[in-house]
Amino acid sequence: MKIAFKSVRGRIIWLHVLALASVFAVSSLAALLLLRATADDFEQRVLADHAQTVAKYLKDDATGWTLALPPDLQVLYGRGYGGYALSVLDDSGRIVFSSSSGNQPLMSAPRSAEENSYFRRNRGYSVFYGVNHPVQRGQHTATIQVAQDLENTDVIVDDVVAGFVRRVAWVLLPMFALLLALDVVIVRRALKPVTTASELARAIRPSSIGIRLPRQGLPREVLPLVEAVNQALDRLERGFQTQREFTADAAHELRTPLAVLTTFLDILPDRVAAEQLRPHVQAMSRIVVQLLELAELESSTLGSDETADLRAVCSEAISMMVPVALSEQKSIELAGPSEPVWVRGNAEMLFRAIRNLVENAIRFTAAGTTVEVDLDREGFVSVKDRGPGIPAAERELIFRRFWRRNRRTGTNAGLGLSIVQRAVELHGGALAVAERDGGGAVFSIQLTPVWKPQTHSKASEVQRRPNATVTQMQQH
Amino acid sequence: MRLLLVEDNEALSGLLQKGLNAAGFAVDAVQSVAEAVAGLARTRFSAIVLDLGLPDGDGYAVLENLRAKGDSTPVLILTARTAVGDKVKGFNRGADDYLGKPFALEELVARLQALLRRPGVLLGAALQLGRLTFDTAAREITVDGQLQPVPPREAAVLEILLRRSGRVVPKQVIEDQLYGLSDEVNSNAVEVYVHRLRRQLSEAGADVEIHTIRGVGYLIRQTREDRV
Repeated sequence: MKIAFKSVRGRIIWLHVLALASVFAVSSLAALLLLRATADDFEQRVLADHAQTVAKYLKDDATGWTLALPPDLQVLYGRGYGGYALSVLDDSGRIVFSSSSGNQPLMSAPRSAEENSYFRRNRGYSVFYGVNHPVQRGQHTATIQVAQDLENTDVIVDDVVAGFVRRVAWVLLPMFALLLALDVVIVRRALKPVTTASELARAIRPSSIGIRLPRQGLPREVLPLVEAVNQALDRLERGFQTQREFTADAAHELRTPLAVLTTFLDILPDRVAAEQLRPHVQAMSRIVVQLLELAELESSTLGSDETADLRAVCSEAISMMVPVALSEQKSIELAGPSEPVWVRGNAEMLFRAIRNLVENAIRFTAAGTTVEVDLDREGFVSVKDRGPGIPAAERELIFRRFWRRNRRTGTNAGLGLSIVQRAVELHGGALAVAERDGGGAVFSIQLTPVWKPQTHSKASEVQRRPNATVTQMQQH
Repeated sequence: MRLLLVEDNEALSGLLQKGLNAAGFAVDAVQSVAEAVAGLARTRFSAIVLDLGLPDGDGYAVLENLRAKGDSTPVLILTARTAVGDKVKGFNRGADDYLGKPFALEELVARLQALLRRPGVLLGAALQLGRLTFDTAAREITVDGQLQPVPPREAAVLEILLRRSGRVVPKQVIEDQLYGLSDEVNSNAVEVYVHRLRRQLSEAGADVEIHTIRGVGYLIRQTREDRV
């Protein structure tokens, strides 16, 4: 039977329990047996002594066997005293003398002609332990049997054994328990560096990618594992760094020629040609910018103590999209608390995510309608439009990179929602899309709220630089 | 209005000069940190358009040099560096605005004009939108030359909106500028002023619209034919 153990500590402790239990059982048994053997030995010597003493008074003469015990010995072998019983048998096994009333031999065969042999028998409540002692007188051999009733309370040998076993058990058991407890402590202390390293490993998050597991204090058996983990983290960090550098370089290389192109279009004297070219250049610009944003998000990590004011982020994202909305006879409004709503995260990333959602909502909502952005104190924000909505079948697809419902119109690359999804993922948040009562779609994001004591209004800082926004003022 | 343009890409620099000239700015163009610093030492500019990736160093060197001298000339950073955190860094280093490439020339011009319309800068005494003109020095509001009687508080709101015309002004900003720290702020007051302004300007035929963006703020813009 194989038992799977969930922890090294558990395994060691269980095996220890089994080992200690076995040792305890074996040593108790051994002690018991040894004690018994010693007791038996003791008994045997006592009985042999008795038999030899009796043998002195046993004579064989012409009439047969005679036993002339002195008075004190007679009393000794009478019933009741010390529990000794005595009988003497002749060659043929007939009783010559017996201290018991029934004139029965204490034990019949087997008898050895030369040596003492010992026997044990139960009779009623008594346990007799006795010796057959052969005595040679001339040509005849008699057997002196001396036995003792061990159940007699005057017999202490058995009681000593029993008492000893009980005492030993009561001493041994706590000692084994103490040993077990000590083992647990030892195991725990020995494994402590491993436990610490594990906890550190558990704390490694994308935001704390600089952590490495410490090597000192760790047992040799675990070191290869720790080193492998550290090396993997090194590679990961280098990978992120490389990707970040690549994205930054790519950004620069792509953005500059694009800027030349768009500015050229802006000042081209042939306005007709310019306006024909513009949508395509804009489409390309938009794709490039979104690709770069997505790439940047892929290699980004979030600092564990960064926080953002979600209300300010929503306010700014909306402000940015309002001119576009108004030019299409649409509007946007923000509902929710009028104080800051602090969440764990990076203001600029969240700004890009919400701006993307609002941008989509504006694009799809019907003319004359208002896009609603709802915010609550728990870090939940939803963007609702009155557009055609998202059919259930497409609700997974829309977040895929480059997925578009209508591939024939070219201005949308299908990246916006991927950016939103990636940003929300990075923040450990949840993103959902659903149908709206009365038509339209609602996208909702749940972020992690953070409690902050209220400080004086940030707007007074904004006053110094009217073009700057709260997300730009955020410092850590 | 003289601008200093610091941009090392020749094509872009040439195009920007043409575009900015067309918008009414005189432009001095340089291509390196050294040239920029030298130019700033010689001439006083109304504003600076600064690229960050320059051949002989980081554009921030120009900015630091300027601010270290106590020079508060508005600086708009125009750059391909748009990673998260770059913008915050720009503002922390003393920039007044941060625009990423690619950009619309129209937006660059609008932002420059906004920087220049701030109180304390020369241009900005007269704010104009549609048929509306606001002489901020004389505190006179005219529509098509006709003087409008606008109470001081409403005038203050109108000025704030005009300085950022076409963009949303958060309600909090308006409240903060209208009231000192010790004043009681009636949360409905701004809405009331805007409502009155709207009516008055519409009746005067100013050809401007003030939009309420609920939960965010207000925006003034010229009434126009919009694409639907």
